[in-house]
Amino acid sequence: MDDTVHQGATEVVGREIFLDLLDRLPQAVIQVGEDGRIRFWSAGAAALFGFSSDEMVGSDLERLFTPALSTAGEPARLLAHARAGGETRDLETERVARDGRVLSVLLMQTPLRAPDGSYQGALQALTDISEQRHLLRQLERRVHQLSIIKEIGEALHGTMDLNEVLHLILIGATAGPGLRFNRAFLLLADETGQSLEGRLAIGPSDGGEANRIWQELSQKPMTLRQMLTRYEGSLAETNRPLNELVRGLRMPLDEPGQLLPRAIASARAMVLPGKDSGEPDRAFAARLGAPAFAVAPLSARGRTIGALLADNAITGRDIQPEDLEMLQLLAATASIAIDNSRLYAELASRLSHLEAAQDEARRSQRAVARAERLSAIGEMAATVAHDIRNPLVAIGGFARLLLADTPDGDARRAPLEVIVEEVNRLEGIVNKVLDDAKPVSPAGRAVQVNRLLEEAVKLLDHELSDGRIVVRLQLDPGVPAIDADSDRLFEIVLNIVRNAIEAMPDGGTLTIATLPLSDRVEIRFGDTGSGVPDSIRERIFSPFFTTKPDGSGLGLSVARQVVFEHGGSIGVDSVPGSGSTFTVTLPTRIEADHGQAAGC
Amino acid sequence: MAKLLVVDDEKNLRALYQSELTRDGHEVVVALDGQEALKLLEKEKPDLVVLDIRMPGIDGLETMARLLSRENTLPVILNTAYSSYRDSFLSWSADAYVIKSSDLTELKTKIREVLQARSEEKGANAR
Repeated sequence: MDDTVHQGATEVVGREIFLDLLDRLPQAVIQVGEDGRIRFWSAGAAALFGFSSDEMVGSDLERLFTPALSTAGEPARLLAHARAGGETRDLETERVARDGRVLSVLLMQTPLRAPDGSYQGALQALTDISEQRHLLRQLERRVHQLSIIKEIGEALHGTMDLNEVLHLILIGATAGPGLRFNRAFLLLADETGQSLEGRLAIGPSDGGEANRIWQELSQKPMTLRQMLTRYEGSLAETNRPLNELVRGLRMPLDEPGQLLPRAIASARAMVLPGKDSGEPDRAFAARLGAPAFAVAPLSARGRTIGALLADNAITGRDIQPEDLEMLQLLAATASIAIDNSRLYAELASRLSHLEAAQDEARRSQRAVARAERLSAIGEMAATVAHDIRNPLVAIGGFARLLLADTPDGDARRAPLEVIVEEVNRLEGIVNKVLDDAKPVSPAGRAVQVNRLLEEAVKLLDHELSDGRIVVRLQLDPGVPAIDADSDRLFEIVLNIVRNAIEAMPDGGTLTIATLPLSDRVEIRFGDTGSGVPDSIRERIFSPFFTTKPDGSGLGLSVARQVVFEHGGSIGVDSVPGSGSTFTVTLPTRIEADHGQAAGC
Repeated sequence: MAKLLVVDDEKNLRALYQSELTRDGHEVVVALDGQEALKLLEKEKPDLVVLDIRMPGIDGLETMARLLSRENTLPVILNTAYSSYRDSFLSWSADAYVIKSSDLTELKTKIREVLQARSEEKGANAR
């Protein structure tokens, strides 16, 4: 402590003021002698390192270095630099504090010389930058995380196909440029929204396969999109056992205490099983074959749409808080992507329906316009033809009468024959015009017979239960849709069922059965009523025929009319006293003009 | 000899049917619309009715419904200028459907057939 800091400061007072000044600096100020031992230890140094001046003065400077830096010869190199007259500025390095903490410091060093120029050691000022370093590292990590999420987000942006989106999410969760989980699983809400079911998984099924895939990936660095293109086909194949596992997974959403409701309630990704996890969580983990797994809920527009699960079942690496943070971020991006692709698909499907409907509307509009034109012409022709017919009948009829009264050889026969012949010709023309003007049969539409019968029974529910009638439906699911006017068909079903209700005044059983035949559909209505007597069997389909005091007698005749219009047939089998079975047979396709022909 | 009630709103046609059917050996009563036909039913007790369909007032189909509601075994032949009513289920209650023609052969044939069928039915029932 004799001739230290400033050789020029010979006065003790000056030296003390100088040292006092150094003590007041916030930095750690250390004076090192030419032998490498500490000569001065400022109050700032004591605060930073936790060593007092008494402890440190006389100690070797090397005491403050980390073992790594000491081994690398850093203390000697630093002092040699000063000895050679070199200044050191803003050197970022590390030192060890008394409690063993490694401190990040910014170092400045300047050599000290005696007036004769001889080297006397160095003065060091160290600023603690541990906090800044820490923040910087955090910032860097954050930037890295965001860049990963950004890349996944961009990849997701490139597609609207749900299947691709799901694959990309899982690739993002597992791949090297992504979150690096070993395996990832996607569960999506089922249509009830009550539970999630497993959809897709990615991950090696064992360590061997894991090594092979990861090696391949590290040799050829790829973007996520490239990975998708490269692996999309083979993913499903290589992950078959895993995907079988995931498709068997179901997670209820509405049972409190289950892991997913908890994760949703906390709106955060979590690692399970946790400290407070019960048996279900452990059982689920065991099913996945992982000691622990991370789960992040997926939600869009206020609804839970699924969950993203990930684990490190192959490497056994612990899931770090950062991993969880990343999974949370990925889940947010994934939710939007899934929702978007679904909305897009819905939109596309609606659009194509709309386009089809528009095409259909245009077509039928043209057809209607044409039909209306033809119909107007036809009606006019028919009106004229009818108006002509009555006078023709009178003229021709009387001409025939006169002709019959005129004896052979009479000169009046020839002109009368001309009248009869010409009237015949005119009547022929009238008939032809009227035939051409006949209305076309109703346009056929695909009618689901089974559904129509169910609806009819539903509509008559009250009448049936009031009449204490049990309905048994034996509908063959193989019955095809048939060409028919559904309103009129519905009407006849109602008529036949009502007829059956009336036939069972004391209640009974109505069995309605359908049966697909080769090009026809058979519908049977079997009641347990009084039956139809043979004597009136033929007439029950005639209009105004009724055996009931309040019946109009039109129900079954309307039914027969409609069935005929559809080119079908209707009949009844009956055993008096034990019931009747009405059998309606309808062709699956209406032949052109069949209705007309059958109606005659 | 059967008694026929012919209902038609056209005067000339009534005249034609009357001449021709009388000549064919029937007794012919004519009515100019449904209302009159219903009145004549009680008085004349015809064996068969030949009905036009398009008539002012109540049309032939409704007339038929009313005639049948009074006497449900009455044979009815619809005789009309229109073929379209043939497809109407209401027409099925008629025993025959004839399209008007200056050639009355078809009408006369149907009248004969229907009367024949009815008399056989009666004979069978009587036995």
